Amino acid sequence: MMENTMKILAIVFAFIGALCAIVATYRAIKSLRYRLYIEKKLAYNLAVSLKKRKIESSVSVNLNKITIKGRYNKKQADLFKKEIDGALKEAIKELVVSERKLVIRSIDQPSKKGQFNYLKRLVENSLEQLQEKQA
Amino acid sequence: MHKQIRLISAETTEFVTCIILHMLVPLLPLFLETWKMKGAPTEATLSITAAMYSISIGLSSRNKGVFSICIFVGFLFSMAFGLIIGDSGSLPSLKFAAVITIIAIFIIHACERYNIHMVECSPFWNFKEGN
Repeated sequence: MMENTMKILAIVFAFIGALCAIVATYRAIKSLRYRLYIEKKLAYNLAVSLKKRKIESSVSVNLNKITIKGRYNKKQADLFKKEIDGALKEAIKELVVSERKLVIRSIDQPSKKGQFNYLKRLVENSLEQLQEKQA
Repeated sequence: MHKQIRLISAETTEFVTCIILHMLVPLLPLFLETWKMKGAPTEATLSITAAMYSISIGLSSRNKGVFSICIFVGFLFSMAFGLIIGDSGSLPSLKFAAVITIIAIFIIHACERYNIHMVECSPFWNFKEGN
């Protein structure tokens, strides 16, 4: 009798655990989809902002760096960086506060390599969106 | 100048490394038992694996909700392990629940890691360069 009760209890505990894990999985997938939606929205906002500043045709993303096409001296390149920075700030401003917080956390991450990769991928996605629109 | 061949991106490499080292290696004893016993692992092995796996994955989570749920699940499976240890009878439903939990915890953390490594582009190991 006692042995059976223990077995039933063990099964009940295991099933409660499995149910909790399934609910958490659903939430995790939902959260990931929301984050991907934010990234898509940010890339679109940045694309609009880059187009507004007419600098989209001057930027390209290579294997490991963001390249500015054409010949620019240091002063012009700095100005260009400021333009991209401005476009990015404008794109972030378009987001809702909760979405903005997530994006800023990604930009301000402790790893410098991570920060650069994130920004590079963001510009890359925006340029892709612009190219798709033009095609 | 030769063009570099584009292989797997840095983000994908970080994500795959994390999946292998952080999420699959802890399950190695389970795979080894399955291979050695030439069949499904026992209820006790599955429940202790589910308990330890959810606790360890929960502790490395950045999300408080996932952390709490994983600890709770770990607690429940530890209780289940304590109740069935030394029992000779077979409990297929407990095995099923443990396998479902291990898979669910794996998916939860894979989603979280996808967010960290693929979306936010954070490196898995941020080694400082030696120079």
